[in-house]
Amino acid sequence: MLLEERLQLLKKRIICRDDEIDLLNCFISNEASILAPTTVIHGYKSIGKSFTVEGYLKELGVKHSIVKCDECITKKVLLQRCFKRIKLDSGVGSDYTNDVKFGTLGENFPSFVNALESFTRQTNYSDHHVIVLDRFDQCMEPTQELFAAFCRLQEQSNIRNISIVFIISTDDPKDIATSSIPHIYFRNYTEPQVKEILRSKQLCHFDVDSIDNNPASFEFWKQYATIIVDLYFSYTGSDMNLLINICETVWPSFTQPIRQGKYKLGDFIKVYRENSHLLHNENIINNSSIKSFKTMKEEEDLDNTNVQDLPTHSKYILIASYLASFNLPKNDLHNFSKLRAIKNKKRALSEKAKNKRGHLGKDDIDSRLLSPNFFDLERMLAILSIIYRTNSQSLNVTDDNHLLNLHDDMIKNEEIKELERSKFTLSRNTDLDSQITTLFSLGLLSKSANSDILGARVRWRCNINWSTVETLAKDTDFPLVEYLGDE
Amino acid sequence: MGNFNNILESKSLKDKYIEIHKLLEHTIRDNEGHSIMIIGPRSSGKTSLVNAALADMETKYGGQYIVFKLNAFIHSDDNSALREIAKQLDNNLNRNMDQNTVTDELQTFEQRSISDTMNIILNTLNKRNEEKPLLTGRLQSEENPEEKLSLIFIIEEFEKFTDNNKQTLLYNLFDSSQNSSVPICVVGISSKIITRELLEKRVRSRFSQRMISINKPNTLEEFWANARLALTLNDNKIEELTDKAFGREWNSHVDHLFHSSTVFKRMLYQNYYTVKNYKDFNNACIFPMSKITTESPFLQDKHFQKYIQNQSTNHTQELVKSLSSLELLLTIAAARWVEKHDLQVINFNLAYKEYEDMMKGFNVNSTSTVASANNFDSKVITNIKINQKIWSANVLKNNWEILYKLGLLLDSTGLTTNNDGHIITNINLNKNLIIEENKMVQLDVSLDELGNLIDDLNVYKKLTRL
Repeated sequence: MLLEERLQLLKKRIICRDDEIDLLNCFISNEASILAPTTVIHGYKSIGKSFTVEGYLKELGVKHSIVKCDECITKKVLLQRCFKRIKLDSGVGSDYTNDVKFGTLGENFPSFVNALESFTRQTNYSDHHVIVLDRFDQCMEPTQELFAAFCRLQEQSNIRNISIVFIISTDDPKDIATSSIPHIYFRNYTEPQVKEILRSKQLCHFDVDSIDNNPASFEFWKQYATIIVDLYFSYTGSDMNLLINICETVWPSFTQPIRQGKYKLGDFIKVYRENSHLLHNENIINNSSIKSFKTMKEEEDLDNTNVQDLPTHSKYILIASYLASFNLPKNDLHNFSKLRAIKNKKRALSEKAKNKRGHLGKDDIDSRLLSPNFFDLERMLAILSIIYRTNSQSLNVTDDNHLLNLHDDMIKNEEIKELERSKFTLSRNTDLDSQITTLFSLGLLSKSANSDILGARVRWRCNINWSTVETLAKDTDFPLVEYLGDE
Repeated sequence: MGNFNNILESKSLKDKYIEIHKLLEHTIRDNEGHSIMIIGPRSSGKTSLVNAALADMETKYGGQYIVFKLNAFIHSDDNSALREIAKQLDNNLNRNMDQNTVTDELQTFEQRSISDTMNIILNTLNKRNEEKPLLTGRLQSEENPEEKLSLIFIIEEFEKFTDNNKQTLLYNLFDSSQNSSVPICVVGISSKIITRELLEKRVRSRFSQRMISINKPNTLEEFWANARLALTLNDNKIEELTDKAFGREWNSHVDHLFHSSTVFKRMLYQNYYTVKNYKDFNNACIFPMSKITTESPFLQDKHFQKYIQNQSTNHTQELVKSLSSLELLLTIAAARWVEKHDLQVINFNLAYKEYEDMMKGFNVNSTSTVASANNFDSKVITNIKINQKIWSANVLKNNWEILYKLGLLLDSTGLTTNNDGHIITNINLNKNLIIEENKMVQLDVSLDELGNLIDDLNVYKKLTRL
């Protein structure tokens, strides 16, 4: 346990966490006999849990090992890492040789306990040792069972000097919810607290000695941090990692005028006015502010670039697959045939149905916002052959205004149409299959199972969203909306 | 977890202790085979009772028996439990023996293959007097070959061993507790009240049907009488102190706390009327305990609040509180959509569309209500339009992902039931993967609940009403 004066010092270093430090101080101590065998540190998002615990343990001067569980792929790796860290951090592990006879280390929990017991026996290690299992819930394998096992470590073995601190950010697993382990809950920071914390330490520097040594540079940082919190608090909440990340991303370009000597450190407002476009750019939080390699400037936000340079046939395939995915097969006849009657009948029916129900239902959801359905390849090819006709000049004329076209060359026109319809088809030399596989490997199409691409029972679906297909349709002058079922 | 030190002074547990004690004594002294099950809620003192009895055995009959402690949380399957038994056998028998003999692999119970280990243990347990395999000779105690070593198995989280379909381990243990000439006592400890019904028929018939059940206290006085034991010193301890008067004063101060104080009493009442959990009570007392100094040598009433106040009361409630305002808006939008359409699942696209509509409506309404509310300042205020920014879908997609990772959004196929009707959760199934924008998920909170959770001062509260 820390005495009052050192506690105060620690609280000055780690601000806004007074209560939590007090509680840490009563559960974790440097005497093995009076400490809690397990403690759970709980809190959502990055709000200084690990930071506080680590700071406290350092101040306490107790031997501790921190295991980052989110870096462990399996439970086995996690256990092995725990053991190795203990061996390393204990300072007595150098002459330890493994004498566990059967089973590999960390294969399951008993073998871990075995190894630990044999380690403490051989080296007579009896210093109090704290294992911090950081982000325990984020290990790639589910760790609920391990949680319970770690809680019973002291009870089931003759190890008495090792205590465990879990740091988690989700609810307790059901197995241990009733076993009353001491919890320390970290509440999220309020906006003033976030500001205070961020302002307290200058995280970014100008990398120019004459500016950095100037006390005004700290003042500049404080104003900068305040602005960042003001602008982005609604997005980040009290997630400190996100805020620090934003600070670091914007800093270099924001302080460019100062480094170039255009403004002085005191002119924060002027710098802000010049660079306000930087701060109000949503790209900062999109993870998409990527610098182009040649120009070292931030890339413009380009949407749907990945489909623009596809060959025309591929674009049609994509559109056809989109239509196949988002239209129901039962509506194909009225979507893709020219028979008006079916269309009108259908529409009238749906209007009627809509009036009957008072509130919104399943059918009122815009299907474009839902996930695409799987379709058979044949259906997509059929749709493709229909929509590809829009490429032809004469066939593209709709029948809608046939009364206006009621003039002399009408019969002639019809003949031309008929002729073209019989001839016009997809270019016979296009290798559809290879195009489909290309689209698949680009990730624009996906298939139902991990089976062979050529397999007969494979079903496909398109992987592009509405805005992408809209640009495609614009590119190819294709009247997409006419073919969509619920328009 | 077996850390109640003064448990023997508890009046309600005294007779239970005597029963366990008697049973163990019969096994060790009279070489009888027994089996018993102790059932009771968590932290009601099950393990502590057994440990206390074992500690007493140790002083009376030390060296005449071997204790095996198994815990299903650690030994999750029969194989690892078996290995543990073999290992403990080896450890116990080799304690007095020369180290050199251990090196021979044939001399130990634990073998590389699990079936060999099983065979050896079973042979040992089931031996009749006529046959004498290699290892059984060693089970005779060293000093007096006539006297047999008794084996005591303590199995915690007993019900977990009934999960596998043959229940091999339990069958063999119970069987040998009845038939073997080696005296065996099996003590099952469980918190599940139906544990006996989970046993297979052939296993259950070999169990002695002896059960001890420990219940939660029925009256507050009983609860306090037991909880008080954790805070007070017993007579032996007081005798050991140099200043005996302080020990007595300490005890009377604890009683005084119960009879007079507000915070301490409230904490006790709250515990009694919600969970009746002694360990929770103890946890709350640790902080005041750590504040004892030579200046203030007694527990201070005000310190009892600290731990209780720090606890998070409710998962979802605290989760919603920790959301940033943008995440909160997205959650509200999703909840509104679910409410409107009466469907259980939602994806990001739908939530974002609802968010857009909602914010447009919010901006229109907020300016108009502000203008009409204050007649005095209406001239000033109508000129100021407070528009909430509508963020782009790309930004909110990050927030959607955060909500998913926090567990507010669950996989729609997250809950399934298997053949036996057990609920299988794989809520954490995709926790580390990216969530697609049209992936259907379930929202863990409804619009009504959100309305209750959001603080009255929050401007977004009115959005929780349709």
